[in-house]
Amino acid sequence: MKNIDFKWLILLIVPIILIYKIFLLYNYEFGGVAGDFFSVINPSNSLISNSFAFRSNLNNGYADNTANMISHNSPYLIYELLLSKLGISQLVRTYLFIILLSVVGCFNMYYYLSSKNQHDESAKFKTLLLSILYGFFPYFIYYILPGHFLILLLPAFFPIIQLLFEKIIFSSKNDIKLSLKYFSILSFVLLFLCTPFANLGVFGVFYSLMVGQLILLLVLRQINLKQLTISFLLLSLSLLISNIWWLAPYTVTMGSISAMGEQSKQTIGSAIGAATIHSNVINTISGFPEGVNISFILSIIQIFLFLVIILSLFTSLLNRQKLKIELLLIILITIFFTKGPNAPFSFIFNFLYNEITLLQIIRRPASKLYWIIIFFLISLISNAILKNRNRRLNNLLNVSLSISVVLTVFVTIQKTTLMPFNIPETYYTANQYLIKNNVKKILLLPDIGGLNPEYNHELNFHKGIDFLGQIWEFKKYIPSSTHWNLSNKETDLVNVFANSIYNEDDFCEISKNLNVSHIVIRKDLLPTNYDLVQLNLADFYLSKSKLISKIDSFGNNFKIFQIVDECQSQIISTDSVDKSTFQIINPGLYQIKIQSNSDEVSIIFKEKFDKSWVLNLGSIANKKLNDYVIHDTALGYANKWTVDLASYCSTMGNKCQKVGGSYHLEVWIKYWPQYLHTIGLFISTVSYLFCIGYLIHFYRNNKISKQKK
Amino acid sequence: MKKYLIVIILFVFGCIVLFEKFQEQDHRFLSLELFGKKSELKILRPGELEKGDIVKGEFTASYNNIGQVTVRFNNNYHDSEDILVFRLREKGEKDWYYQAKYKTDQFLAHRLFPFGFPAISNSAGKIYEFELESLNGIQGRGISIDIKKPIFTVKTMFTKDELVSNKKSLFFFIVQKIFNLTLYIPLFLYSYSLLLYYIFLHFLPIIKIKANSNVKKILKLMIIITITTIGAFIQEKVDDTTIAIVMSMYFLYSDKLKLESRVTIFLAAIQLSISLILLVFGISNQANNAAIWGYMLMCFAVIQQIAESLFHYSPKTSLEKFLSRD
Repeated sequence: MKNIDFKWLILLIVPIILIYKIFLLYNYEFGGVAGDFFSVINPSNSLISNSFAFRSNLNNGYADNTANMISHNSPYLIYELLLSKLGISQLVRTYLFIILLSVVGCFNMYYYLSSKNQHDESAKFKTLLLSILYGFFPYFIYYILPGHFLILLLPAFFPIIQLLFEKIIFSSKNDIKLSLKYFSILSFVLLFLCTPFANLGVFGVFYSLMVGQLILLLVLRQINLKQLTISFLLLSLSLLISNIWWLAPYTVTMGSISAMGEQSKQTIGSAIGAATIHSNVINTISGFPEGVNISFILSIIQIFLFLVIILSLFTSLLNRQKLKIELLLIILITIFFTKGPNAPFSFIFNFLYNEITLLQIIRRPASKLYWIIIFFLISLISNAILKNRNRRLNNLLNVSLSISVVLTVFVTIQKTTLMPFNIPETYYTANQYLIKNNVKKILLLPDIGGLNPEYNHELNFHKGIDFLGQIWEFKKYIPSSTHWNLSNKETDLVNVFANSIYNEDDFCEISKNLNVSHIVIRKDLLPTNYDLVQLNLADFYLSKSKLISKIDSFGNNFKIFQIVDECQSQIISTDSVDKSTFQIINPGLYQIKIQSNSDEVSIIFKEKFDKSWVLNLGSIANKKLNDYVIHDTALGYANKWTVDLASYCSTMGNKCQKVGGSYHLEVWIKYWPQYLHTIGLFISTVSYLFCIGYLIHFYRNNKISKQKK
Repeated sequence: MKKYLIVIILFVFGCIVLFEKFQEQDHRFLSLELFGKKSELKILRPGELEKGDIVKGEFTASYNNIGQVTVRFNNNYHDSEDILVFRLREKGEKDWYYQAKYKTDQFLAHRLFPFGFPAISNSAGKIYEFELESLNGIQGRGISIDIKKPIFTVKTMFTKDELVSNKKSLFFFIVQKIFNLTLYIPLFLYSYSLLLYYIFLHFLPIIKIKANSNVKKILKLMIIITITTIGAFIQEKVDDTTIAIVMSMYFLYSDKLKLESRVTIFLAAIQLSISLILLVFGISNQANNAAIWGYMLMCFAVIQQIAESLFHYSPKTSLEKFLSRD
């Protein structure tokens, strides 16, 4: 026992070293690399404010469909919120999150492997080594480099999910009550995966893997059709209740799957070959499907990992033990998809890639699939080596496994490094200034061509995702947008706006149409991704322009130009003859009071045209109103509703008053997918109450039957 | 009867492979070819051609009426945006006989690209020189010369009418074509290797010698050496056709000896070990080739294991028996 405790202490050293490493950076509040290191939504906001299916300020105003961001509430934003309330900085929060995931992955894997085999001391030691290898797998640090570390939640919790899934499968043969118990627990555990599932490619891969396992077991005659049906239904149901609350609005707002596929292709240089250039068979088998070029030590780890795999094959041969077909098949199939169009079977992959949209959405196959290979490979190795009785081979395995683990942990400690920096005070004062000056939307210059911003010395030369979106929570237009968003009519207009400034043309009309109130020239970026001369010319032109009423500078970082009132507009407007007032209830709900003398009124709403925006009477959708309303595009990009007041008021007299020849009406503009979020939350809550109830009932019954016995 | 049916199937398979390979080599049935040597093409430096770079070639025409020069290029699997000027003249002449511009976006990786020109009637025995000049080439967006054999070819095209109407021409063409096809003997062997292997396994009397198992041992050793080393070392890049041929050979072999799946896993482990050794020495291309064969053998082993457990296929040769001296 003492021996085992000592082994676990070894594992505890890793987080302690990493935490020590973090606290050396106590002077800094923020940290990041070129990726998604900032929480997508401001964690200082409340949970409710992070639950809107429409947030025009996010992703520089271009990712209107933010319903998927709701999914970050569980568990990532809850974690962020809790720790930020405790006063822990973003830098420390991010480091802790990564450490936590590695340790959780390690413990979960140990629990999974232990449940599979009866162990002696030697086997327990190997299981521990394999679990550490899984939790701290060096490939996972690649997720940190591009910044997609939130996906690490999936490998961290997968062992426990797989274990519960296997228990559902095998209990469904004779004991459906037991299956329901495991289903209830699984539904709760799956809540940990909502954040990575916001990436639909990850969700698709996970679901395909689980269903694929069921089909495989049926084909291999390890389960019957009844087990397959029950397990499939329970898996789907647990995924539904744990994800419906964010997935329901997302399914409406995400757009077409084929458009997502096209967008994915654009971000990888329109060629899957570029995304899989290093994913050849040897790299994929030996742990580094995206090459080992970031560090020499990774090449050594690759060799030792490969050696462990080969030794485990020889061990199983020597012990006359057959490899588990289902594990081997999953590994071989996943290698096939991970290697992409590389040999072998390149023509089959290319055919499937062109025909299956899911494959196009997953973009970089290695990043979405590789955790599967790691998990099943370690399971296979564990299966092959734990019962080995050959002493020499055992020693060889222990040595190579120990070296792999030591190097892996060393690399994790060495390579998990964020660029620390502090955000200058001017960012916050400029934000307050803009709010005080009734900011509506801003045009942010320069255009950095969709590339990551590179900050100057004030921000420690940090290069990565733009954090301005979090501090300035109002819509920001950036010309050219980002390369991962497809061009639309709104972005085209923004480009026209920016060009009219560069060409020193009149921009009054276009700023009015886009509902822009301020133009901001930022000088906190190094001129690596933009034309500094052009930006200075724009600054000079705006400084002397008659269309600008006020200019203020904030340190060396921002110069803010307020557009004259005549060239500004409101986000909601009606025909000039009508009188209207509106109130913003929340980002997806606007209340408008209209007084009109004409029989027809047009309401223009200056957000990008989307069928999901609807005009309602009162707070509840009224179908009858839709008979008298036409929803169309206005100003080339915005929403416009034309209401036939005469016909409407003649049939709905009590809700539309005509006083002294003018109509008085109250309408609401709503982003209707928000209701799907509410309904989804209701379904999930009721289902989880059922799960809790069932678990209490199950354990109580179990206790009673034990007492009877 | 079953054996002969398999022979027919394998012959048809060989024809398909041969046809595909001829297509790949841009070989036309109604043409006579001259294969250019690497020494006959002067490339200034390795890598992609840059603006102003000129590649010079020279050959002695074997036939009259030459009308095409094909050169092997490599676009390095990216879109190439260069423009090449192709020029040709008889050696010693001042003016170019023919010149034309070609956009390199149509050039494929490791394939011969044809540069056509008006046929030269009395070309036999004369020395010609040609040039390829890059007009816009930049590194990363250009095109490079692929040094895989043949690096370039010179073709004389015949028409069907010409051969049918003139018996002398037809006789000349047939004789020359037979000589010409000898250049493709490795391709024929490659395409029909599966058929030859099947005949070797099932029809040659040498296999039927049972009294002395030395032949069996030699055969076994040959198979192990072939599977474990040739795949890794001979081919620069393993293509799907080669994989199909080699794995079919292994299927025929394992079917003949009724090998159990552990034998295949053993061979896969050997392949992966070779891959590891090559990786340690930094020979990454060959290491990957060995890993591909390891992967393929693992796939094959899974199929065997499914057959053993689901369809109760009972193999006769266990791994221990396979490795034994008997």
